Amino acid sequence: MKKIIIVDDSRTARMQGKNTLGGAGFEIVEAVDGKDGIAKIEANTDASLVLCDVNMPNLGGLDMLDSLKEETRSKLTFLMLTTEAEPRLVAKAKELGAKGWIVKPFKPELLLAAVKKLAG
Amino acid sequence: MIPFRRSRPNRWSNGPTGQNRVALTQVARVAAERLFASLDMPATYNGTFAIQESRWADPLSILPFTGQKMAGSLLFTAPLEVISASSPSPEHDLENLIDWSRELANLLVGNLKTSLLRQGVGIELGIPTSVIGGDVRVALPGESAVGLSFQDGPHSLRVVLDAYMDKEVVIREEDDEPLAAEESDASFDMMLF
Repeated sequence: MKKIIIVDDSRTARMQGKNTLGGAGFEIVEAVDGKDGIAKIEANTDASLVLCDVNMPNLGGLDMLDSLKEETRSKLTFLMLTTEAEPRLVAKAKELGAKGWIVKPFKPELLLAAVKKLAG
Repeated sequence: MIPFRRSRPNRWSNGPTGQNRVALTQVARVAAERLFASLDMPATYNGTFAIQESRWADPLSILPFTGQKMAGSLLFTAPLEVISASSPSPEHDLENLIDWSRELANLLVGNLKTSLLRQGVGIELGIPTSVIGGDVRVALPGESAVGLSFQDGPHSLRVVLDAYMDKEVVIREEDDEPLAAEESDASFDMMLF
């Protein structure tokens, strides 16, 4: 069972992700912001993918990516899930190694298709 | 963290006036309508409302934003019945509903940001917060805040845009029709790199 870490300050968004991906057989670990995300990533070295919001308290998603060691970043697949659609931020995420960007509100089937493609 | 500007530059106006106010109201309305439609919320625009006379008995979610040309905040309120009906979560306890109300404010500003970006006005989103109480009153400067009312059956949804902007900024009205995907780089559902 592949493990996905969902980093989002919205419990509704985490629950949506958990229901969509958990129902498809993925194991889900939740993190409530970027700081918690780093802790969960370090504690779950077997995770395949990190689904990550951008605007969060304490530490945002892009800052979280930037804070991770290159070695950690390269082992994981990052998929951004956010209300943002600004090209500058999308380019920044790509530069930091993210493999995709989904704009909220999202269709569950779209999220599942993206995660299956990226996490295998 | 997003640095939030506490005092606005002198060159900024107190808020949108004249045609800018009309256009910003329309842009906010279209952004809200697009969001409500995407969530299958049957909310229809019901005109503007006077903010000073309003009392807010529903969960009120507030999201600040800032930028080089515009800053302010968006407020969103809707009855718990409406929040519950639109929530994608199967759990409808108060904490989850307030979280979804905050997320709706976040989605509203996200849509507004996309619309403003098409006009060359960039904003940075802050973190949403919520207030709930039986008789919440909000003091907003009437000269800057725009109040939009939407109707969902017997329920009233309200969106307030309290925005200050550079005097040089000119806001244009948006096309009411849904955008074609190729119309803007800032309009997409998913992108894989």
